[in-house]
Amino acid sequence: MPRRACVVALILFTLSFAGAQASIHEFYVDALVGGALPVSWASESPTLSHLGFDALAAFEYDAPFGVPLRIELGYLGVSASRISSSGELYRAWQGGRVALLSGYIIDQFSLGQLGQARISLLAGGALTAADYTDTALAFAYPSIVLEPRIALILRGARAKGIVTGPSLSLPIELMFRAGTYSLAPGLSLGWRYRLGAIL
Amino acid sequence: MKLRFVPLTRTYAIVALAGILALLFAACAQDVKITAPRYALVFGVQDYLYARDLQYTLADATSMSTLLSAQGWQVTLATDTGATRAKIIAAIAALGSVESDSTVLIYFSGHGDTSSDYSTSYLCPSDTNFATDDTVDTSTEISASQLSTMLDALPTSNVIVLLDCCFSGGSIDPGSAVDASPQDYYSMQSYSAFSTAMSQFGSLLVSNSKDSGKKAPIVISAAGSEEESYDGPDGTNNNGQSPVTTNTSINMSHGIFTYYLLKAQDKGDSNGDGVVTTTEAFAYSCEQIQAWDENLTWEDVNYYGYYPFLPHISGGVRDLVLFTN
Repeated sequence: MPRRACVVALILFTLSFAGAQASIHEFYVDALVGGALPVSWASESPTLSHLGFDALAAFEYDAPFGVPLRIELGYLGVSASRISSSGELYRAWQGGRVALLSGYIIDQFSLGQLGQARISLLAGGALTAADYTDTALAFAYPSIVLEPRIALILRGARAKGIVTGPSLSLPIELMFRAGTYSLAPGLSLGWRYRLGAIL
Repeated sequence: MKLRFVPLTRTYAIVALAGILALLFAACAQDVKITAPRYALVFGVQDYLYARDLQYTLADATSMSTLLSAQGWQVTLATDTGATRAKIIAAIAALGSVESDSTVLIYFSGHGDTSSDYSTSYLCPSDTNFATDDTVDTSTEISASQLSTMLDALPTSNVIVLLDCCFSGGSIDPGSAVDASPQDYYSMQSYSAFSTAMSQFGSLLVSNSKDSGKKAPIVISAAGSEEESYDGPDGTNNNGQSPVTTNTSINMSHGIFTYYLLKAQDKGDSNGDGVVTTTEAFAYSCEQIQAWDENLTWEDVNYYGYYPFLPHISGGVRDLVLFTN
């Protein structure tokens, strides 16, 4: 675990310096729903795929030096995996998840009459409290998240002073579950609310 | 410009979403076919040499054997004098030559025992020596750790253990998880796995990091480590009395846990994929027994000593197919 934490910290540190080019300080709220195709494996066990979904709320702040800081609070559900020819599978699980991400605003550009687009790459860690579906078994696990995102602020998408627009992210999460690994590439779609500059 | 962009974006988004969903479902749609061999040892002890006989354990074992045979398991059925301590140990040891990808199932229906502090649970073979009602020669029983050691020695790690006996929850290994359901459900307190995960979050993370991922047997017990399970709803308790619960109208003719476990083959496939996993069988039997518990009357509990109980299942990320339908 300490080694994994160091890797995550190093990634965040590097990306933070790269992100210092940007210089906007704004506050955003996102609501997203998404699907994922997790794949689980363990030593001497088959590699099998699941179906997953999640719903989350995220709070993102463009900290000084243009580094986005993002907290995600969400609920996730993952189905039981496919079944191997020996009758083995991985259990379904569901739980609540909190993630802390930071990274790099790759580009932010005008779409002319349409509005603005921002492309960012975030990375960080997540902690999940969960239970195996249909059992009374509770567990918890950490994970590493890499999240490329694109968010649009449409011109004219303004109501009561809050600017809104669609957002899309392609998160990839590597979960460390009790000696078993699950890699979950996903796609999340949602709506972003720009609450305005606060600095 | 805006009028053109918005509908196009929506169309692309809908098409993309539909494509992704189709891909996901295609990736997970599966026609389940289990090709690896499956072996079952089914033990039922009704006629005890030195203890109170039971009523339905022979029917439990026979029905389970019949069902598993029909499901393609290679079944060995051993009952009463065929299920002495030595014979049970020998039968498990004889599985030492099974294929490494095979699945082994051990089923036991009979008496269960526990130490006075509930820390060790035992299976009671037919020759268990009950010196008195309250003392048992534990060397004539099979402890949970002895059973675990024998199963660890098997060439396969795909092992299912189904225990229909009192105090059988003592054979459950929650692994790095925590079993939120109480080992003594007498007061029928509510419980929540997710609340437990939140309240014990730190210690669960530590347990998770220490878990080596070693494949442990998947065990389903009829009752908690501090609970009795019942030999049929009309079965008698230690005082020879029957409960007056309205559930006696169900003609089970089996132990309550086994009755619902057998029915899980037909009714337990909660996700409709054509197979019943151990988790699905557990969930179905647990739900049905919880309903049975709720129908126990005041007299049952306080006068006759029939207490509510709940099945338990062991932890871990893995699951195994138990039945097909």
